Amino acid sequence: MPDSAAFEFACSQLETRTSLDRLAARGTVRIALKQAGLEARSITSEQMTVVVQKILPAELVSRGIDTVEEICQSILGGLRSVATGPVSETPDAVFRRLGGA
Amino acid sequence: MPGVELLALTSAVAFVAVGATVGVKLLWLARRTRGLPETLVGASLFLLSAVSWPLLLVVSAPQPPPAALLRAGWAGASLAMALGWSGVFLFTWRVFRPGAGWARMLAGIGIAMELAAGLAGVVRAVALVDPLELGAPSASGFVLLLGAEVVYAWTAIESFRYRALLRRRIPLGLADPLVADRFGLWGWTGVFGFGSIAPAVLAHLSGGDPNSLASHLVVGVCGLVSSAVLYLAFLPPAAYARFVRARTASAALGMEP
Repeated sequence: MPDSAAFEFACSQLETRTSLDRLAARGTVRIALKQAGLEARSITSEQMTVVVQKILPAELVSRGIDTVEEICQSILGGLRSVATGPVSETPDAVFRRLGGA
Repeated sequence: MPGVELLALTSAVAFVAVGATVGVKLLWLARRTRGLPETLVGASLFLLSAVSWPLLLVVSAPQPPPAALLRAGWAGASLAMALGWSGVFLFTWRVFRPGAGWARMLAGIGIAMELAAGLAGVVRAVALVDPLELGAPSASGFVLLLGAEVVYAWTAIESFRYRALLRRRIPLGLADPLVADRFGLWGWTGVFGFGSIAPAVLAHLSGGDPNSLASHLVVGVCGLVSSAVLYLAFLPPAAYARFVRARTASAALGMEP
């Protein structure tokens, strides 16, 4: 299953705007997603926005990257225009419906 | 009636009542949403609890029913169990791992095993000369139960794994604590479903007595707990929902209630 558009966008922005290469950029975002309990193949733009706001800055700082605030703002700005596209129904959406919550 | 026998009977009645109620609720939901997951899990629960379990209780009664009813009961129970557990295989694959080749293969093998064993059980129920021998261990019964153990274990692993993911999303405001808890409860349903069948599987393997006191104790306890967690998962009372949300809020503040 391919990774989501939001994941690909965040990775490409990191690769473009930092000294991280493709592998390191994708690894950094994957680590942030793991901390948030999210998966690259199903993450939406809205979820990625929260990750970029709350988790990614610390990950970038720990890698010695400068201008973290600027990079994150740039990713957040671009995420608004990333279409989530048709994704298969997530397990939590199914279980929310099954319990009527 | 000894205490353990009473426990086993209470457990069976609780499983039939809760499973049938939840099954009907989910099928009712499916009628409105046309969703595959609710159709699968609703039909499976209904077949397992409202069809196969009552039939098994009837055919296993101390005073067996007439031969024709005995044969029909075993055939119906065998088919209902095969279809019910096939539905759980399909549900677990489609909900948790829709894009994974290994999951598709596991579900396919599991469903093939279940359906083959279920049909073999029907043939056996019709063809066996002495219908009173239908309760004896058989190869088809063993395969049917083994498939059930596999799907219960798989369901539990996937559910607990997903609950762990959602627990990490809760502090970020990306998951509902009640939904995360529901995955845990569904996982426990798998664990105790596994436990309730384990004595029969072990008896098949060891040649032991599946109706021993110890077996009935395990089946009784697992059945009761399984019914309780199934109820809390899909028919959560308002007080339970409040408790789960309050517990999560307290944990976030670092003070367990």
